Amino acid sequence: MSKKIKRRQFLAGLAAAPAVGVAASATKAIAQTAPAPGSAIPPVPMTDRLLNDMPPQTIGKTGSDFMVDIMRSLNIEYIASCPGSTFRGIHESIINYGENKTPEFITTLHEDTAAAMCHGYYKVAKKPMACMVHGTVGLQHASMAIYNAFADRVPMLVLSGSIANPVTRQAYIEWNHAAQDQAAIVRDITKYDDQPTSLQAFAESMVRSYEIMNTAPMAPVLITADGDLQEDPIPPEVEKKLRIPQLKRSSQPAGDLVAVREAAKMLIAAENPVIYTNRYGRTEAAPGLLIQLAELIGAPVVDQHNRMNMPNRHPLNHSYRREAVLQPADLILALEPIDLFGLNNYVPDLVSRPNDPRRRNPNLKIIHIGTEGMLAKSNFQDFQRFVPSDLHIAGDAEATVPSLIEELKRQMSAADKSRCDGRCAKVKDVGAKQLEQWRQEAVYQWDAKPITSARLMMELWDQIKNEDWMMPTETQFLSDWPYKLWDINKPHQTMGGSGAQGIGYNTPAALGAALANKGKGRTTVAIVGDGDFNMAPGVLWTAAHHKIPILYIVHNNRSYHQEVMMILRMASRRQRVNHKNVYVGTLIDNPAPDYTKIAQGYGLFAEKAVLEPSELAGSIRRALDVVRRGEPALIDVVSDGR
Amino acid sequence: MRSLILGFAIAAAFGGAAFAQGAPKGDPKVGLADYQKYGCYSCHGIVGQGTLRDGPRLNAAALGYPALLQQLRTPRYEMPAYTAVQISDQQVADIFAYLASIPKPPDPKTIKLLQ
Repeated sequence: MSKKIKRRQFLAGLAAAPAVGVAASATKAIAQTAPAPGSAIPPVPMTDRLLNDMPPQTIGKTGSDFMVDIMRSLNIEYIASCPGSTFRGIHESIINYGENKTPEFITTLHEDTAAAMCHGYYKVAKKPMACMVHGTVGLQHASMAIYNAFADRVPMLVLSGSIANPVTRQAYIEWNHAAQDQAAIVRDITKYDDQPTSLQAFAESMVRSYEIMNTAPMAPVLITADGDLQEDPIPPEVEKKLRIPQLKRSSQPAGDLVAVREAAKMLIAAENPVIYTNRYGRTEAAPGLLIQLAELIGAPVVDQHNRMNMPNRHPLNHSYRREAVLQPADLILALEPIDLFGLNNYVPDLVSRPNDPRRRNPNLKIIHIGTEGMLAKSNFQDFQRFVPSDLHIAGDAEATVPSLIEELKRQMSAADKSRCDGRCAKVKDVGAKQLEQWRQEAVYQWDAKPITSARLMMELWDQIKNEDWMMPTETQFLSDWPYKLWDINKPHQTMGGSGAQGIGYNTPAALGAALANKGKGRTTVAIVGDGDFNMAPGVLWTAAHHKIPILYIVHNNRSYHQEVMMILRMASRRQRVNHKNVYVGTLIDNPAPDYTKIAQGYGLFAEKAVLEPSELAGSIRRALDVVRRGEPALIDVVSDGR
Repeated sequence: MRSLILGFAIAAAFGGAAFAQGAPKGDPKVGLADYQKYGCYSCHGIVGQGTLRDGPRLNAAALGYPALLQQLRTPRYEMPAYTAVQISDQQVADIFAYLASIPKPPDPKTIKLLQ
């Protein structure tokens, strides 16, 4: 037989052989090898004999080796994965052919963790990471994290495997893990998907997908690598012709210049403009550009923090005076907004769910600069309720702001500039007083037990404020104290939220961020809820195994606290008075999980749970000492609800 | 911030009423137990400090007794109602006594971590 026999085809050929002939040969074979009466040697089963007759496997470049070449050409530094047989070819090529470098295999204990790490990694590194997920089942596991990233407009490369040819699938398992169109599982929440049928097509599809996912509006992409394509050797005549297209980065789509001129005219004419941002900050240049714009037109900024958009202590940052600045506004400049309807309306959680428009200037105009409309799919409703704007500029807001600034400078007269400067000074004067107001609020809970969020956040702040730090986790369940009292002034210090509020994002995404921070001398501190943490605690093992320094603080309110409030609301609405039952299905207690033991079990430094506010400082200090030495640590803080 | 504005709005609506007017004598210890049992802490915080999105501050004389009773019985905005079937006037008085017993906060200037 040719030494270049393909193993699957060989076995498939055998399987397809006429049954009678095979049976007759088998009978003869068994007959030939049957032991003599009284002999102790057992008969050799036919299958073993056939395998023993197989020629040696090909040693040469395989399809998956070429797939690693492609990933290397795209500078994919890490690939997170929980291993699976549908991509065993790529896995082996990464660790042996590729010597586990670019990409380096990051082992996770769940595919959701792998995908969520990619989400967090991108938001710090500003380049995509890959995850590899098992065909059908692994992709389903990963799908929540993929949805979060889609809703958050963050790119990631999802690789999966499948055996396209039914004739070459091994019985049972490979059928369960194969699908004709497995991308259908996630097509509504990815920007592009493909299942290439040749290696050249694979190369072109990977480079295309890299360009697509990295162009705003960004989002995950899925490439399914056929098992045979991975595992088969590359015939020499094919190998000579293989080419990996050179990656050429696209520029980001920017707003049309005619529309930008109109926007500048409207902004100059406005008496009370407000800038509203949400998913605006894409690069490290974003905050500086936004400050320049806001100061030029003297506008307060309402920031909803889904990126690091603006330093929190800048006196034009009025995020927590939202209604005070929006009510008199006659123009809102919305930069990559997510929910314009929610900005100006409210649907209270009452039985009738009335639409309650907030008090706004009847002459209010809206300029909307963003990319949301460029990637809207109707199934998942993350696109929010429609609000018409007076001027809609389709384009990446950060890419458009420089031309808007230039246009404002060009159109502004001296009188306009003087008016805007005067307004700017007044707005700054009000903004500068906010910090003092928040300090007054924080003291109302300072020494309370269980430990309150303000106390926890300020004890932590005291120990990281003088170093290079990053907090990759959401803060709305901590009453946003970091945004009120910390000094967040560098683009990498925060990274916004999950996108779709799928619980279980924070713990693994924080680790992805920490991976991007590794080696930069930056301290990553992640405050995660106990509900979030329990979704995939195996994240801790990945942190320990790959020596990724990160401090996890479990904000342990021993419940799915949001749902405690929801069930209270339901019980009260229905006048059902058994308040004990509120905790059925919402409490994470009895027994209370011991996060210290869990962390230690996964190889992290962890001390006993912190119950007293006075214990926080020492506990945080000892844990940070470990993190600064390059290892992960965890502190369990038994906390108040919010 | 919305919850803070809400709290002041409710207090302002009852601005003319004396802080403890009409309040039956209440037991702060019983009030603390009821404050937790009926879930008040979940939106308003364990010492009535308020939370960003869910419930305004109740401690340090934020709400007088008439305002508290009215808000419990016929709440404005999204707060679930606590009728007399669920929580009696005496229990409301106990909770009021608990909130009134919470010590006044220190001056933030005296807290090093807040500077």
